[in-house]
Amino acid sequence: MSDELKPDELLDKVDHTPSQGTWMTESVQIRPGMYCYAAKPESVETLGLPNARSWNPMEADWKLPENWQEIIHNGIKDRLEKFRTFKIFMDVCVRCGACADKCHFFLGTGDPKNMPVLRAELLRSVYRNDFTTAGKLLQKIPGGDKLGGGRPLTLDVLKEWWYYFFQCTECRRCSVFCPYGIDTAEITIMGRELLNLLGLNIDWIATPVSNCYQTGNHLGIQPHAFKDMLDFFTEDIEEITGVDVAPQFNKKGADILFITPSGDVFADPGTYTCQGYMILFKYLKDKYDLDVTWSTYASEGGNFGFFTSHETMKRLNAKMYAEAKRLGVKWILGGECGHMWRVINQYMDTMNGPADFLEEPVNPITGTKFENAKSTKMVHITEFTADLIKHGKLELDKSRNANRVMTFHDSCNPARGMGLLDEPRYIIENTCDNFYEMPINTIREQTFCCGSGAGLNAGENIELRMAGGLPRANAVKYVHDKFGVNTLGTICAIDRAALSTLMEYWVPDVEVYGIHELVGNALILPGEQEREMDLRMEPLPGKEEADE
Amino acid sequence: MNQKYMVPLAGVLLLFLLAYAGVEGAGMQWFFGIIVPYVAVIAFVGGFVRRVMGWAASAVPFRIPTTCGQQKSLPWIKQNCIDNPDKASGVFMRMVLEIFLFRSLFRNTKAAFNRNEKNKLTYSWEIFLWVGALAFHYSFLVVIIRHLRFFLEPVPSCLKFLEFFDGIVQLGLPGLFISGAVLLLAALFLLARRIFDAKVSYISLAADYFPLFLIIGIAASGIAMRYFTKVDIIGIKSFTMGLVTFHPVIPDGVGGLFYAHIFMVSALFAYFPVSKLMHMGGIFLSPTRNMANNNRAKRHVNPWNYAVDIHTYEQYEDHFREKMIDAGLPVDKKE
Amino acid sequence: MNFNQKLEQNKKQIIDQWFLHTINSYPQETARVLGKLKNRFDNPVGSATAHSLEESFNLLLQKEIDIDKIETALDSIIRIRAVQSFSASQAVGFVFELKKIIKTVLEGERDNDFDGKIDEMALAAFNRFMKCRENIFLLKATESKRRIHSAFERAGLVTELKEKELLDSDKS
Repeated sequence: MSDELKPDELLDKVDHTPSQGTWMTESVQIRPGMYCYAAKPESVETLGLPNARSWNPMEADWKLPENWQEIIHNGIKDRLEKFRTFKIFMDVCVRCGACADKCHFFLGTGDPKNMPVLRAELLRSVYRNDFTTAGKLLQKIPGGDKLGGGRPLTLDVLKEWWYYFFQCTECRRCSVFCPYGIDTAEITIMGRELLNLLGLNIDWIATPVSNCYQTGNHLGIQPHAFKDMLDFFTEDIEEITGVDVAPQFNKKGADILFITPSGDVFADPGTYTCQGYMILFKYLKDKYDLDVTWSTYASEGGNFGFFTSHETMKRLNAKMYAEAKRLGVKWILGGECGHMWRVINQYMDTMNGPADFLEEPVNPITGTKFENAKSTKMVHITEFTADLIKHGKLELDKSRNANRVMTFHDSCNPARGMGLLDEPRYIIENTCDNFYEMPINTIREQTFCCGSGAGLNAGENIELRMAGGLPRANAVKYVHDKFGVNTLGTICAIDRAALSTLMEYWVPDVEVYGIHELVGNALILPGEQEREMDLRMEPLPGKEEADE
Repeated sequence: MNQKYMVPLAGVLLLFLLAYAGVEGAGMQWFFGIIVPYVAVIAFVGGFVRRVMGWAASAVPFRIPTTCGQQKSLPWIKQNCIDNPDKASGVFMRMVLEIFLFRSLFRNTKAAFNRNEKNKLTYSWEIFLWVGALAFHYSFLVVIIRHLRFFLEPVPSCLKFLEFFDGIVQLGLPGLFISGAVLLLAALFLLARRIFDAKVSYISLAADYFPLFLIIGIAASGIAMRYFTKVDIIGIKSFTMGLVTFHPVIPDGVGGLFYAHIFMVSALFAYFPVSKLMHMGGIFLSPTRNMANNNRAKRHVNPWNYAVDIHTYEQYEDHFREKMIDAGLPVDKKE
Repeated sequence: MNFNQKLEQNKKQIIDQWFLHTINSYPQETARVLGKLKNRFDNPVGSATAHSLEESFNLLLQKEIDIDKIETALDSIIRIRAVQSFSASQAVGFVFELKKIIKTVLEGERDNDFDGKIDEMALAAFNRFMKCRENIFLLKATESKRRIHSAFERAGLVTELKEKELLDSDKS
């Protein structure tokens, strides 16, 4: 829909006959509000990635290297050999259409190229043209290209790749419905790797990656500032509970190294989740003498390298094991984060393991062996806390969360790249009395993405994010209207940031909470004063009068 | 008209006419009946093997199953052993359900069955994709197995058994085989969906229509021979037995329609390995389905894993040492 | 039978057509998906559109129209169109379609009073569209601020950053 068209003309233009199927020849229109700004050259340079320069997607010239087609061609060839997923997914799609209406971006934006099958076809069409026997033969016949569904790699095609591979959050919902398990996330990952060979990243990914590489976290918080932040939280918590929960940093010989996304340290409302972790660790220290340390070097759980290339992911992820080894801890505990856990669950051990310098994780308080983490040696904090609660090791006062009417958003990566579904629910049910599930086709493995994952949580593409988050928001609105739900729980740092904005637009009465914020509110610290406020410094239920 | 399906349709008609005219007009029985089938079978087997070997040659660097249920975690949390398997047995079950029942496609239909505001059950066309796909694939399978009777002497009793059930409605003479009719109808349905559903039409390519037209042509010519033109079964059996025993003979009194049928089947065989029809082999190798989600318990090895540059702790401390000391953070080297 | 009664009688047909026309402002492959009245959670745009149109039409049929109520009823459809890169005229244009549809369904008959009501509804739709767009700009501006925890600000660590981020978000 170009800007000049009036609605009447538009309606006249639309006919009801089946399409002539011209998607291959329509050239891409890059729209403001839907795309993210280009990566700054400084950020690309930090990691020594190719073709660092300043460029603008809205301009015709993208300042590509002269032999860019050759680079892409070789890049595809290389990846076809290295990844069976890629090769099979290029070959076996029958275009049955089962995935088409499963994508939140398609449902929200209405752009047909956001159908997962078509997103993959953008790349597949070039693959068929350049890498298959049929494609190579058909090229020689006039019009044969079209018959085989191939097309040559032109600048327009490349721009289309860039536009649409940065409109996919790698959430894998389509993959659940595909009869061959074709995973569009995998295709987007390959697409972005190829684009990165030409320096075509977006700034919202490239700059956090560069920061993370140098300072240890995405925002680029330097070690002293990182400590300052947690010191501020310590002050706030002392004001609320009367207990000093000061954390330990870079401590050699601690039992456990704790790593969480830096979003929890610097961005509201993740900060309250972070305070929840601090309260929990203080409680475990006082009651059971469990020694947990934070690290300023490995101060990022998230991994925007995952949205750049496998190699970049590995380079950023390496810090976790390196730091655990240096500090000599027994095992690693990971905070609430989505893609961080996809990386830990499906990539970390393979890329940077084996972690034979760590012990097989055992909860020293309950004696539970985390069998499912015995090789990677990293445990999810909701697995850890659920185990503590199950064994009655935590004193919880649910009434402090009595004003929270909860629902739970399964984050895509823990849901479809791990299967962490019941652990967080168990914690919610033990810290809060009011919990209502959203409709079944919008939770668990069928959960709808927040619309801002995989590095798309920028400001300039807010229309895309709001549209992509609509299916999720719509389900929240339903439980809000029906059960009076006022709190959306989640175990992902990007969710905490993105869903807050999403809720403000679609369902303004709903607040976003991390699961450990509920724990932080409910947990009774030894020697604490009678709490009047929750972690957000709002009066606790029943204490509203006293506040005034 | 849309060239995406007009060209494949014309192509299939051409194949048909070519064989029909070649036999009826030019008397090229030996070419369409002997040379083409042998070449097609060689192309099929060779191409299929080559394609699968090609996939197998690509590495599986990471274990990335799509998890569709609760993981194995704490002992008291119930794992979904099939949708999120951590053992080979679970993966086996998952693959069996996927391959024999098209389970993921069925998921699609579940979302389509819903109650509307007046609490009435509503549904949409998605259920028919699953039903249509099942009907198509199973009837095709039965038809293929049934055709084995032409290649085996004596005909094994299990085949007779199958034929008995396939012909159980006892309609017409010779008795109607349900599988043939279902195959034709299901293929027509899948074709209609591609043409009339705007969404599917938009994503369809010529390469999606061609095999459908071809299969429709094969089914239709087969049905025509059995029920209408009533070909000489004895002659055909001697011909097919000749092919499998490598003593090919051309029988008398078998017309062009039969050769057109054989030619289209040969075309399908030869086309198979270079097309999307290879999904038949691909599904077995799809890494998001055929792997267990036990990465954290059992290390997966990447055959091409290579060392990368990282920003080490030493570099980091060198960079920030003063600030760290000022903030009271522990450091490895004081100076 | 007066005009309103006729509308009442043909209500279903009018609303169905109105829905169809509105949905057809999307690319046709998309319209096929959105137009299916399926589960409201699988198809939020289609179901919100259908629901919103029906509710606003019912409000128009009342003797005295309450413009605030109409604006609220239009909210869910406009709120969606405000983020789908429609231009303002494309986003609210569906309201005017109603005039044409009624004329077709009632075979040429029209009514000045009712046309006036539709015009008022169009203005309400435009108001709502502007509110949603303002909402979007505000979110853009405030989000970057929320990304930095208030404690950072208290510590004076981010004053400079804050202004820069706000400017950045204006750029687009």
